[in-house]
Amino acid sequence: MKKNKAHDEDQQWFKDHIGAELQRMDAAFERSEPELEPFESFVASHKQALRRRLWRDLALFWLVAAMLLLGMFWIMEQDWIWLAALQSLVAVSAVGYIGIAHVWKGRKQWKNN
Amino acid sequence: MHAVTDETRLIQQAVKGDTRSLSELLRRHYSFLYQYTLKLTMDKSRAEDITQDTMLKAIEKIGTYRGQSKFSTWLIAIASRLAIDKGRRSARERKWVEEEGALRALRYETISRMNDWPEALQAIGKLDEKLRMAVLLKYYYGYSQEEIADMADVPVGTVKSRIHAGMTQLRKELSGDEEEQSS
Repeated sequence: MKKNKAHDEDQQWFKDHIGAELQRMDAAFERSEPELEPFESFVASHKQALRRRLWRDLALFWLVAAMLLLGMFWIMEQDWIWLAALQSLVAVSAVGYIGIAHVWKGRKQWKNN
Repeated sequence: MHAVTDETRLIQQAVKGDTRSLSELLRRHYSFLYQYTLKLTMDKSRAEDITQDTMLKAIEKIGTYRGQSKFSTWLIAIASRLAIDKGRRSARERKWVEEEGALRALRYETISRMNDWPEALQAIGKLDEKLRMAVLLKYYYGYSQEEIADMADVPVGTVKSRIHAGMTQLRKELSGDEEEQSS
């Protein structure tokens, strides 16, 4: 109850001392509603750019995946023990990387707060 | 009521991929969004950048909008996160010099538009951007602490302390000015 009262007081103080001036600022910097046409072409061109980026990323993904797969098959042909060792190494590295990235992100977030 | 129904219809079509509906929605919220980013950054050029980037992000993410919050709230959340990310990237010293210059520029422009640069705006401009964001969203836009925490992607406790610190600084700045004026 006390906390709510303090919030109400803060709200009233803000309204009395700052709110009205911010409303005046909003009115002074109000922008007239732009025409629809430029907005439509802005949205359409960005959507097109997004689609292009998606296709490029997809193509790159398939290319890398195909190369990796071919490489794996080649190693398997040579010696399957090498393949098992490589896969274990990749799995351990991936888990390590995810763990470190998680800890790093947590620290960064804590610092930013 | 008619406007709300109209907006709901536009949102439904925009989510389905209709370019015209999304354009109409963004056009309607353009001024509102710019006014928010201007108050948040107190910097005209950053406000324009963040407004434009928010529009681009909204175009990319419209498919994920589920209507759990108002469309304007969704845009404010995107703009707030972009402002935080951009703030992180710029170097601390350069940021201070730039902020001072931008606030001065905004002061001149506000004087030319309002014939006045109120102490309240100066006090708001002096706040750290994170504190300003929390105070504006809470007391000017009326969002709850939980909503602000969600928008800024921080714990509720952090929002509470930012609001408290921001209000303490504002009271101090403005009571100092009132004392100067009365003496």
